[in-house]
Amino acid sequence: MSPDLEVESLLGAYALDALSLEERRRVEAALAADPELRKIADLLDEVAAELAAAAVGDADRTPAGLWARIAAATTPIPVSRARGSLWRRWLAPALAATAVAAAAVLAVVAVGQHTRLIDFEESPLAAAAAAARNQQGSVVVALTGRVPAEVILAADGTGYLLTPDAPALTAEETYQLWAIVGDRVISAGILGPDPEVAAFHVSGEIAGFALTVEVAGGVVSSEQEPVAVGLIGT
Amino acid sequence: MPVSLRPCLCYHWAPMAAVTDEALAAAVAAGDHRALETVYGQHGAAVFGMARRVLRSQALAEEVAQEVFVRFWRDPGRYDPQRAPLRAFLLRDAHGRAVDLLRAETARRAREERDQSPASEEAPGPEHEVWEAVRSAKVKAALEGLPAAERDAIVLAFYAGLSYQEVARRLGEPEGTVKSRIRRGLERLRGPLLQEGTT
Repeated sequence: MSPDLEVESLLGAYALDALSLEERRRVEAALAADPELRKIADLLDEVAAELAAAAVGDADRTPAGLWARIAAATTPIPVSRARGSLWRRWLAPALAATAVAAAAVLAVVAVGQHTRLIDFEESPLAAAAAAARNQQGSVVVALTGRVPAEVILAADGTGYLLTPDAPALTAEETYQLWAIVGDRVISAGILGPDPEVAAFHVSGEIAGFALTVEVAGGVVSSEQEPVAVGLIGT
Repeated sequence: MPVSLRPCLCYHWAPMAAVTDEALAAAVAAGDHRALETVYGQHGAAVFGMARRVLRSQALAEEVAQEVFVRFWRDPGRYDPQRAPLRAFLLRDAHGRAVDLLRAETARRAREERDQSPASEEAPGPEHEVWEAVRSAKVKAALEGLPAAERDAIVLAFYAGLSYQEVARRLGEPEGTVKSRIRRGLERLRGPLLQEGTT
């Protein structure tokens, strides 16, 4: 079975969340690169949405205290108060760059400079990242540190993180990407233990990105030293 | 996008039926916390209910519901108003997260039981219990209109949170057959579920 047919055969189970993690990643990579496949998946998703709605009863009520916990987890906290000294050290240049409009570009690299080991023909998501790299308005940010990585950020906020040299983590760990937006740090994605290429979406005035290693499932606020950081000049 | 939101100084949500999903998502993307509160007010009970049906656990369902809204706050760009209503997006997200958690919990329990007893088996409960998760008469009727083999595969996969491989083992069928039945069944459901309006 060709790769496309194999992915297409998985779309029904994908709509029902009935795939393994590995299969799901494969399907999502294919969907990101193939609009026709995306259309088929959307049609099946609509049916799955009806099945989901059917599981909701009129008597369902939100538990007491749930909103308070969500509110606490989503209230923006300024970087200067939220992070430990390690993060402040990493992010101080980003905040300074935000404040000074004419700051130099610190780590934006020219297109094509990064050494890539990813097979762009085999990975549809990598192919989508390569296409984004060449789009007008895209910026490419090199994240430097213990785990070198690269972010390709398209003008519409779609981003791709490439970590071809990142060591695979254990099943109890995950890479987590953070976006520095104004004076806040927000999670841009929980990427799993061995992402290689991951897609995400961010909005707002992005000053840079940081990559951390967290416990599986990710965290609301990191206390870990970033394994890589890259800043965008303003 | 400018959005008119009524000031709210408490944790109770302010009903704003006139605000569209797109405007709410844009307000959330702009960091408006009151918009998130409104989204929670409109869909929180459904999201929690969805997670509880799959997980059969109040505590785990609360965990999933919290995660769904926190994820929406952090990454509202995942929601595309052109593709689905916000409620459908949040319910699908809740289902996906609930299934992930169910599998993690099932694996953890299986590990614990293996340590104590050689005979442990992952089992989400009898089919008739799973079937009870379907609250909508319309969806129930549509599912009953399917061939039994397709219905069983869909109900076990979606409402019991089983992977298609687990469904295949449960039904004693080849994995490829179950995969095809799920796909065919979903295509058959489109007519009765989507052409006559929603539940």
